[in-house]
Amino acid sequence: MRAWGLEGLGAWMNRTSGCRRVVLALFALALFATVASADQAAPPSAEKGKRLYAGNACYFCHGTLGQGLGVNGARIGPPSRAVAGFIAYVRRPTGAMPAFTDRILPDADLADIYAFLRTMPTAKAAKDIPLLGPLKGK
Amino acid sequence: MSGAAAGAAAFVSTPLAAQAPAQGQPAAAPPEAVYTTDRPGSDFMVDLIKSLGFEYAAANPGGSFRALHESLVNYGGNRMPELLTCCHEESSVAMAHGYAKIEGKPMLVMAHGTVGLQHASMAIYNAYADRVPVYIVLGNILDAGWRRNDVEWTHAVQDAAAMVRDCIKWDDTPVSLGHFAESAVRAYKIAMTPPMGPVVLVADGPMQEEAIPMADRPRLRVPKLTPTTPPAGDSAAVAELARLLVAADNPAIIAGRAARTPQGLTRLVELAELLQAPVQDGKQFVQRMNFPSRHPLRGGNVAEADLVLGLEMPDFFQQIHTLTPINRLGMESRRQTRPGTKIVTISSHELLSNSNYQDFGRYTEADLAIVADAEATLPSLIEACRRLITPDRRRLFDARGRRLAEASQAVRDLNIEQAAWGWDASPISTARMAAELWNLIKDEDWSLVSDTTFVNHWPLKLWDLTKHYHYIGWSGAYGIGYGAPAAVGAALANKKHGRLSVNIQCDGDLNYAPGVLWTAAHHRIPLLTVMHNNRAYHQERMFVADMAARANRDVSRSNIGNELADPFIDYASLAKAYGMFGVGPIENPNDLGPALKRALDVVKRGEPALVDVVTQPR
Repeated sequence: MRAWGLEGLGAWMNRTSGCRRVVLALFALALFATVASADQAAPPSAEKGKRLYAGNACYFCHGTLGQGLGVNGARIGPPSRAVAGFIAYVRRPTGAMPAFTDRILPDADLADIYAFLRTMPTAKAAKDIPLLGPLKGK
Repeated sequence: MSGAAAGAAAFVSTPLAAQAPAQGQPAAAPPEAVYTTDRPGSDFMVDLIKSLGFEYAAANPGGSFRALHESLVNYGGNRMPELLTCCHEESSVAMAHGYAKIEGKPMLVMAHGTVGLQHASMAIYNAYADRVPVYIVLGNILDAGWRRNDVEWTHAVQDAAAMVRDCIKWDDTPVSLGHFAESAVRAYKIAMTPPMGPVVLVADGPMQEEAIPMADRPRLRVPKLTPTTPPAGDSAAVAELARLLVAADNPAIIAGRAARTPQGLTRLVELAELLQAPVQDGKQFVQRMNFPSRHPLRGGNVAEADLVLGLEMPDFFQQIHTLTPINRLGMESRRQTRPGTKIVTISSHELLSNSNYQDFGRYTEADLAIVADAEATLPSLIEACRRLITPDRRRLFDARGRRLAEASQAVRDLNIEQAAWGWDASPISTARMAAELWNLIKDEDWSLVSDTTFVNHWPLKLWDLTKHYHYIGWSGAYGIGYGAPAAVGAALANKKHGRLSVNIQCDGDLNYAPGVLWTAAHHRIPLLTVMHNNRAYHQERMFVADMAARANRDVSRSNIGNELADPFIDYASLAKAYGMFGVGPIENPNDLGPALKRALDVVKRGEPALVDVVTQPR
């Protein structure tokens, strides 16, 4: 859908006349308010993202925490790229990952998944894990 | 009377001798035949089997080899070989497969020539593709007049080995005991000659059960077994390879089934250290324990190499090309090596290729292809290289070795940092599972008797593998159902050495023939089985998810037909039902170490034990 900026709305009103202009302006403002509210109505939800992450098989390759499963799938939790880059990659991945189109996962759903992945913990340093620390340097 | 009915009546009519009573005498009922023999043919078969040094005979019992079975336990005393009671013929063969990978020699397997072999066939294909010797004796009643009932007709076959002939190395159907003797020894010799493989010998029912004719007894003898020396590389080709290796600035060695024996590992380390050349395993599957996991020369980069040497690497093409992802059908594989990089192979693969099964992989365009057993060729290659190394090359090699050691250490440290991701996750990460296991076994004389592909090779990344028996490699042909029985067979081989056998067991694999757990319990085979219970046929689940995404359809439905859920399978109870210790399901990673410790204590007492761990997908 085309974005409606305030400048575009003003220019359009200048080309219209009289009370018709008022009616159309009110209509346009109402429409603008609706679109704006729709844009702002659904901030990304980590909770919803968690369900979508599980339901769309993301954990098959990336693990339930997005921690990565070696050659099967890279670590994505927490994500290392911005949401736009994350969505762009899901649409046109490289390597073995299949592309997920917006028919399967709309941008809003991917934003929710991204929000979920941002809540995932980072790893402790291996030296701070008693079973791993002694293995370093060997 | 129709012709067919007349024929049937003739078939059941009284023998002519009984139809003619002696003159003047009333017709008497013929005496009941009481059939005994002091020396059935199967006794002589046992003499042959004993001469070949089999320790064990794995079998699910079957009527077509009942005489051989009886001779083994009574005439043979159930020793050398000892019978192993198996619940499925696939288990029998896969046990033999795992056993051979530790012991370096075949186990005897007995099965019906029809239904038993049908069960066994996938496991035979695994062993064939993995170039592992398995010695299979099939029972069959070839003589139609000998078959007593419907079962013996339905279990009889004209050509028993035909079903698996494309995935075995050799077979024969002897028609006399003398013939059986030669073929029994020949079969062993062929199975054990690299490239090794399964062999099939058909033991005819009447030949097993009938008494050895008196006239034959003095003539029957056990032929002498002369082990065959493995085929080593042609001396001129080896000299050329040595010249290329010593001249190379950045050689890379990729080892597949290179180390058949502990000597193979020692020789490969010697070659690598002489040249200061890196050694790596294949990309996807680790075929054998070829090289120590923490050796400073483990690693290397094919893309930077000016010479790549493949040693017994099946589908070598894949090792020097990028893989085509499943969701990029039709994409051309891209060669990873630089232009001008020399490609050299030493492989016995060409010495055992059948047309039907395509385990030979894509054709590799090599600059030099030495058709020989790699392990047998390494000594002459090492000597040839040693003679060519000048002080200048030695200095270059030493500098290269220092660089490789740093890179190898960096990779190992990176692996350890990566193991920390998801450390406290539930389901439990496979890295955590491997680390918890290592913590308990690192001071034992241990042996990993399972493949590591499905757990991201974490044991190979975290554990200190130095000995040939530290890892048995994968199945050979990805025939699922191999894991549990191969582990039991390998653990049996480890038993007499007092080694602690550890099996990281995939849930899907165990469910093909879980009765092998009973075999382990019954025969007191010490084996620690740790379930990698991701509650799915996970590889297939990923494939179906890929297909759903490609088709723009519901990815969530890829669980259908692939999940092992609703209900979850209780593997601890399964183990207990088969008479062994079981604990789990373990879902909290903090509970894992104590559960493994309890199970390990059981195994140290000489029994099998199972820990069910609910894990991440991989």
